[in-house]
Amino acid sequence: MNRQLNIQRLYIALKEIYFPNRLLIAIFPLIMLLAFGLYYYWPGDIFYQKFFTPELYPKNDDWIRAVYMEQTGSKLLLMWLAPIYLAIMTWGYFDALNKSERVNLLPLSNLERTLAIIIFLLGGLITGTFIFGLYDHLTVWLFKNMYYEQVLQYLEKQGDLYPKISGNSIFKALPINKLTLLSIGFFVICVPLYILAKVFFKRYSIILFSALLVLIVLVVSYFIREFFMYEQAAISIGLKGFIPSTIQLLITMVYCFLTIVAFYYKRKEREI
Amino acid sequence: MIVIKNLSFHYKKDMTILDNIHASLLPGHIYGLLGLNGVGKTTFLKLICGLLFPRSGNVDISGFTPEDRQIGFLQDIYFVTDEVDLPYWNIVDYLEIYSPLYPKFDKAYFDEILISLQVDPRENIKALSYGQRKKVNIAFALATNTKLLLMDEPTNGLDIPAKTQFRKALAKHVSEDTTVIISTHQIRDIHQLIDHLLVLQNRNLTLNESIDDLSRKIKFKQGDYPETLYVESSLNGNSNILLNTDGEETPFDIELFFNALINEPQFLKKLSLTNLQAHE
Repeated sequence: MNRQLNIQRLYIALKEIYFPNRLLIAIFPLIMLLAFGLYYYWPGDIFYQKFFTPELYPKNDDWIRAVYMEQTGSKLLLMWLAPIYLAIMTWGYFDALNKSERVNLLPLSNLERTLAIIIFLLGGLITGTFIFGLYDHLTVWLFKNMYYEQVLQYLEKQGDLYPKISGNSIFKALPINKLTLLSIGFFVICVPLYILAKVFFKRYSIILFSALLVLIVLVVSYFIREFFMYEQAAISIGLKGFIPSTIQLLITMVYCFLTIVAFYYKRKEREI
Repeated sequence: MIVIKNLSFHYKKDMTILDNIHASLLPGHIYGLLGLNGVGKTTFLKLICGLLFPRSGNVDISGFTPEDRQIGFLQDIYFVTDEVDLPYWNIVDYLEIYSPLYPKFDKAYFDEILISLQVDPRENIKALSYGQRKKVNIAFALATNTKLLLMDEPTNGLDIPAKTQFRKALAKHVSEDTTVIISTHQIRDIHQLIDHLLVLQNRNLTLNESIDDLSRKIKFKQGDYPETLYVESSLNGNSNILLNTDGEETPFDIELFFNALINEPQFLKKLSLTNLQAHE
């Protein structure tokens, strides 16, 4: 039996993270659905107005025009839900790794724990992205069924025979490649930082943890801005002129590798 | 076998907790680890199981270095802590997830102990009191059948019948290849089980001796004796510790013995002199 990595123990390590969160995991699709509902019915939004103050749209054409003008690209922000959810789910687990004598004396190797955490977070991000994409396509399909024909007729009446539907309209789902890239961004930038923060900054380092959290938010916000505002198709960190893309990729990979290795060894050295 | 060499430990550099400790602990014994509050008993146990790392010296447990926390080592050690931090799951789920980690885990034995301790295995740990959670942890610890079992105040929070059951289960647990180290202030709960005393005092392991050896040197008597090593007044009159010059066998009063070590600074010296005289 391999002393460092054993599939059965890896499975137990995964179960140890999954088990206390099984209810949260089960209701995640519902939470995401709720988030989508909130997004579309946010006070001030056209759907909110249509529901609570229908007098704002006395004619159907006014309403259809509003639907046509509606910009929903910012729904990308809902992608934050998966990482936030994962942070909530793993928070207690990391605390136990830092403090619990029982947990640290369980016959699970550091490698098994490290892998279990990575698999859980990766699985969570993939599932979160998938569910987001699914709801996004479902809502787009729903809006198309409900309003697309009416919008085309309205535009035709306005003399616009070849209308261009904006990428941020309610009739367009966010491109899969963007979602995938953002998900990868979360995984390669935020996950290692989060793991390191939870392991390095023991008990009272709220300031350090907050600083790191701000850094995470800044990094991710930068990527979201790139995707959303400038509709970039790929991640660019503004160094293309100086560092070739291959090197950028290598730097990212080395960064991920080093953080995971640092986590692994820090766990090994930790006194409880 | 546990071999401790030159073991020193401090949390802060100017506050040494344990200083240059040497000891060899053999399997097949239940060691009672005694000491005043804050003397470093829990620290000592944590150093043995690898939760803390020696500042100097080393601990060797059957060829393993505890701080490496190797799987083979962890599969054969269980530490029952004073504070119980079991997750708030069903006992059944807890067992299902964690028991496969211990190759010698005996599920039937776990159920047997749990029932004897009057805890329903179908309960959720969250719904249990501190004492009941402790019972679950003790049952799990004993069912792992690990070679080394460390217990920090195991009887804290247990009700009276549970203490009896605990003693029975622990007595059954000990075999030729198991070592049990129990740190406790509630010595009366387990004094019949302990066959070896470890006393931590002033950063040192001042005593590491079997009850048998000690019983050959000293005896415990009620009454008034002029040549007493230590005397303590009680409701039944004076309790004495005397040199056992005639080989008389008396029940070993661990509590009185410990009080003598703490209250009478010369007691240990007198005991050492007894050793020398015996050798001469």
